Amino acid sequence: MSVTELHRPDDDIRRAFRPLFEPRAIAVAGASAKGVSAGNRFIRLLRETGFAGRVFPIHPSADTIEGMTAYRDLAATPEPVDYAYLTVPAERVADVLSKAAGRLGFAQVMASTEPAQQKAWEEDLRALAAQGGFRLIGPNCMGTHSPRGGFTFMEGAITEPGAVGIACQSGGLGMDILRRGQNLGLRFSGLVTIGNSVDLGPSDLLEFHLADPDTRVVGLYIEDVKDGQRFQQLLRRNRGRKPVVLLVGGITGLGRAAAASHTGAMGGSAQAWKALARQCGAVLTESLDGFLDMLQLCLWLTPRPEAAAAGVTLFGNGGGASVLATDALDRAGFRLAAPTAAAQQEFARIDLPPGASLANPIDLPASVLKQEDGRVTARILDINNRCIAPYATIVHLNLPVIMGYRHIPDFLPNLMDAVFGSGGAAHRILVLRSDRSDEVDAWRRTFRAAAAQRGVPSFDEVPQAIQALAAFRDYEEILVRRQDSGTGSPMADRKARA
Amino acid sequence: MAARASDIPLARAGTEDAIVRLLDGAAQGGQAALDEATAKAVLARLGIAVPRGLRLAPDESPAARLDGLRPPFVLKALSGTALHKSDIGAVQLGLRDATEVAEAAAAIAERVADAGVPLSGLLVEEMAAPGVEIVIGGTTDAQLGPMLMLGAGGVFAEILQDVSFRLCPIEQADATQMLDELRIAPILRGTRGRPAVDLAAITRALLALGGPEGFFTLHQARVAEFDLNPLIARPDGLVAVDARIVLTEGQA
Repeated sequence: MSVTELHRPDDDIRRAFRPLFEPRAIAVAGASAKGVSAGNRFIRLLRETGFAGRVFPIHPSADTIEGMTAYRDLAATPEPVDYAYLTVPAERVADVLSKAAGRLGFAQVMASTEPAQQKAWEEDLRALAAQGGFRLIGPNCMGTHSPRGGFTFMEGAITEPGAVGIACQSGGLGMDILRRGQNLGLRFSGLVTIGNSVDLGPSDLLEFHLADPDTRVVGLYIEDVKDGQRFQQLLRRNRGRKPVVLLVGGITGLGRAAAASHTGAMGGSAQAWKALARQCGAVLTESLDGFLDMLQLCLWLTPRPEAAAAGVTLFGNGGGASVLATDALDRAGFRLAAPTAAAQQEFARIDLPPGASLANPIDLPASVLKQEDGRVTARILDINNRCIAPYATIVHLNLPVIMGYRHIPDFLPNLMDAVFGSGGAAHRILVLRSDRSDEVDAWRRTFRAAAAQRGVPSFDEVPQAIQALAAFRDYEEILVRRQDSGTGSPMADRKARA
Repeated sequence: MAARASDIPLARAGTEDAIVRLLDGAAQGGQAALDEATAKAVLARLGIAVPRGLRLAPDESPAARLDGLRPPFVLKALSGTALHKSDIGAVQLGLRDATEVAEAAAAIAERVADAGVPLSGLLVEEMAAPGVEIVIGGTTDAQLGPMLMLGAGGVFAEILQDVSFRLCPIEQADATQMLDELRIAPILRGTRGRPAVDLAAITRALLALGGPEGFFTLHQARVAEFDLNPLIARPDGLVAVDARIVLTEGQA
């Protein structure tokens, strides 16, 4: 794809990527008659996930692979191939691709080669793709996960369609994002591992996901952006309208040794990416967990840039936990939302034992949470929403203590209904604290799945939740500033879509 | 995003031509950096104020030439290398007259020769009035391209690390936010009975250097990095008292 300042229409972009995300014919080169290779596993996965299109194994000598007719090369398939998955060794890749001219959409190459040969080999592959009229993904990657196309590269991946679009320049990290993400309740509109990105790069997939209506949040893991100017143009045009979460690897301490100026000595890649995020309304994260946390928030929270004062209500069981949470809020630049007179009046009608407090932080022992079979929580959160209307409400539950009351019928369902059902504009965040015993971890998984179903972000610990919320607040502030200074109105766009 | 020549108004185009001539002239002369007098000539064309001053040839006597300038003077070595002048004693401040300037010139020439640095001349300037020292600089990220820095300036800039970065091109809003992000922002805005400095002059300078038609945005192929350190910010304006513009390699 040429570097161009022209804005391609979204329809064209989506059409160009249809063979990758919704292929009708997939070729697999690298599966063997003996049936043990990565290619064989991919063919079996296609069956398991119920891929509806045709599958063409490619093999130089075998007649059948995994019970399917095999073809000698990509020129011999009965119809053109939308997506070719290549797990053949590096030295075979060029041979396989050289037969594909004019009848292939995308080729994904898993192999990598010795460092000494890498440059020349990758140049050959790029030339083959250009001559053959197809896009090349990789090399040195793991595959593509496309629920809308009914296929995935990872065993155990959930192929239920979602709204998170990912491009990842590391195959292993791509699998981490898929595994951990789905356990957090994230579902994907697509996840492509793009390896060394000799042809298809981060900018291409950023452009696609920004144009793709199924994708509501974009996440990118980048080590070498390849085409920094085009990448910037895409982000600048987006201006934060669709949330873009970045995890950038290898940005510390680079490029400073040769600096001949104070500015060069102080400005490294970390500064450049931070600047990019601020200018374009992207969210820059520093760890895999931080990345997944922000994907959750960007997916499930509706930005509230209009919320001027960032007052937060803390609600949970555990005195020490509440105190530490208050400190974490302060460090992150939030404050506790003050209970209004109206709220205090209504709170006074709730009958509480000594020791319970409805002043923020609202600290209720589990013995109080269980009152009225857990419905007291709903009453308190309702008053919080109506009379205090904070920027965000963080509900933190110390599960081992709460589990002690699970014999009370309806307690846990009522408690969860109270948390998930509470209305109002406040950002709702759930923290599920476990003692890491198998039993409580299992409960946490259950609650977490329920939270994801209701679009409520959930975290393991309060400080982690607050850190993520602070990053989300930064994103909201960028939206405000871009609204003031820019031509477009990101918030109006978001509301129109909602 | 770089503006094309046809986008630049005619008056600007003349300025750009002059700047390109200064940059290319230095590169063709084999220089790694513009000497300070040339760098300041570039700044003046960008609308960034520099102290009044004049260039002396290495052996030239200052006596006949200082009439138009008001003492005290500052004297600096000029060189096309990217040197940190104060590190080798190539700067002298507070000179009262032509005799002191002549003595300082001899001493500087000797120290510069000892350091093995070629001396192309000397720069005599009026000493700037004191104010808040800031730095504006530019550097190039291998992946994301040219970026602009605003920070607390002076010889301790790298120790203080009070800086804000933006990628070029910046917008007016970016310039304002860069100021807001500095820890010294309250000092610039005026505090403890001290008046605010000319904040608009700072944001104008940022845009002249890193805006859509700014110096670094347009000339990123020629300029690798630059420091204006310090710029002295005062209620009545902003003056660049030192400037270093480092050229990209291999364009001579």
